[in-house]
Amino acid sequence: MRIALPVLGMLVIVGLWWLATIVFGIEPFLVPSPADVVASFLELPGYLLEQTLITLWEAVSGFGLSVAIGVPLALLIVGSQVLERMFYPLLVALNAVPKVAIAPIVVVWFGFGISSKVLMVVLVCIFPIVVSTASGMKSTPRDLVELFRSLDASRTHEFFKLRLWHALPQIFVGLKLAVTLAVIGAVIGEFVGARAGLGYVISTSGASADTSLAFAAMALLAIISVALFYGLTFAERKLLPWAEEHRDF
Amino acid sequence: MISLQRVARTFGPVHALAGIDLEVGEHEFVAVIGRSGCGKSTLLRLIAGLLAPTSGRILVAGQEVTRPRRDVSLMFQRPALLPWRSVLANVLLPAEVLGLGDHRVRAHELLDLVGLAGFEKRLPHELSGGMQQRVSLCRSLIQSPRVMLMDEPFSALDAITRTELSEELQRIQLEHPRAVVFVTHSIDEAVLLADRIVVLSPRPGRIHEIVDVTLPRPRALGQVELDEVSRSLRGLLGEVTA
Ligand SMILES: Nc1ncnc2c1ncn2[C@@H]1O[C@H](COP(=O)(O)OP(=O)(O)OP(=O)(O)O)[C@@H](O)[C@H]1O
Ligand SMILES: [Mg+2]
Repeated sequence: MRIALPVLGMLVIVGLWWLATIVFGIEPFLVPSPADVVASFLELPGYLLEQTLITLWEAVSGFGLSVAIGVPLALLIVGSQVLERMFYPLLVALNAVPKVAIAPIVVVWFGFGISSKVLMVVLVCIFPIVVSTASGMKSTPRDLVELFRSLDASRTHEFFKLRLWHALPQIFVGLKLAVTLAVIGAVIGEFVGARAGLGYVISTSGASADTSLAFAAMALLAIISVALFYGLTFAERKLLPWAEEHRDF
Repeated sequence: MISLQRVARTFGPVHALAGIDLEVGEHEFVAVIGRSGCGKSTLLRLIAGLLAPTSGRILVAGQEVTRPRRDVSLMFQRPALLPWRSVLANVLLPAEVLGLGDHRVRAHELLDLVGLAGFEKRLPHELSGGMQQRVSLCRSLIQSPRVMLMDEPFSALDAITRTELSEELQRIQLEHPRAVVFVTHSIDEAVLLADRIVVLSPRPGRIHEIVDVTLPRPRALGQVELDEVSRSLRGLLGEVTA
């Protein structure tokens, strides 16, 4: 059922889409039918898969970098009131800046290659990761903290034997949010300046009115996002079998 | 073992405890009852060294308490288990944090003692509330504390489990007596377990009365002799509430 229902939902939507293109006689360059989209994927399968891998790699490496920077950053922020006061407002401000507005600058600084895309991914991913980690680290129940205090536990013990573990389910909430943003971040970067990737495919096919190709690229983006999201959900189930109550998202 | 001398604690304008004088012997089980908010948990936190008294002195084993001690253990109303650790790893936590070395054999013995043999590898969420609280009891025993502080440890449990656990605790205390301060709302539980019962009056929390319970052990809930003590305690609590 867990797999059958979403698949059924997909089929219904695709069916309605197909029906609409036929019934209303919509021109393929406005809204292509599912068959047009599949056809345009089959014209260039190797090329499109290559672009998919490029975008996937940008998203995954940017996401990985965000975790590697974001989690320790959150730990520092939680560990020190001074650091929190110094940097938390800055981080909020950074997050408030529309990423689309920064993208051109990032491309000017880092060029058309992969590094500007990875940086864009980091910019969109890092905030949810820092926030979820920091708030998870602070939400440790009082009696657990008192238990550790009553054992005269060091701060290191309290951090790594208690707070971080307790924060893990909440960190995963942030990670799942971030991983879907990662794909968006990569595409924004590719839109603004790139020679490869699905975002590049979409922006060039828009220019040549090849809407079916753009739709095929978007379908591939959706597949990447879903795969990354459920990959993390699966990892969470395996890694945190004890975290039942948080598993509604 | 525990000595409180003119202890007072305020939180801002709130006088939580005032003028508490109490001695608890090395093998003595003292129950504390009193209405909600009269400072029972505060009293335990003070003895545990989690809070400092505003005035007065607290001694454990002849030393003034300035920080948590490793020979004092604390048990709460909730089991307060770490959900990511197995039952065994939860019981071993104090030994690990205190750096006491390998206590696995002792942990197995303790789990045996409370009827949880075979559950060592389970996670807390796989256990019932009563079983979780038994694990918590084992955890507070693993460091072989000289003082056990218990804050309404059975009050979240159903009546049957509650009775079982209080009888187990009585057995444990008979086999291996310690200094225990046991906060409860249940008069029957207090009478079953305690050598002395401290009745606190509220705002500020003061000792209203101390009742000695000299009935022979082991005692059983529902024993007629206990009822008499319970009745007089109910009277005392009535005075306090009035
Ligand atoms: N950390 C704190 N900060 C401020 N006030 C506190 C704090 N801890 C306790 N108090 C106050 O001190 C008083 C005594 O609280 P305490 O928790 O010791 O009561 P209690 O007897 O354990 O109550 P209960 O039976 O409901 O558990 C209460 O008025 C409470 O509001
Ligand atoms: Mg209390």
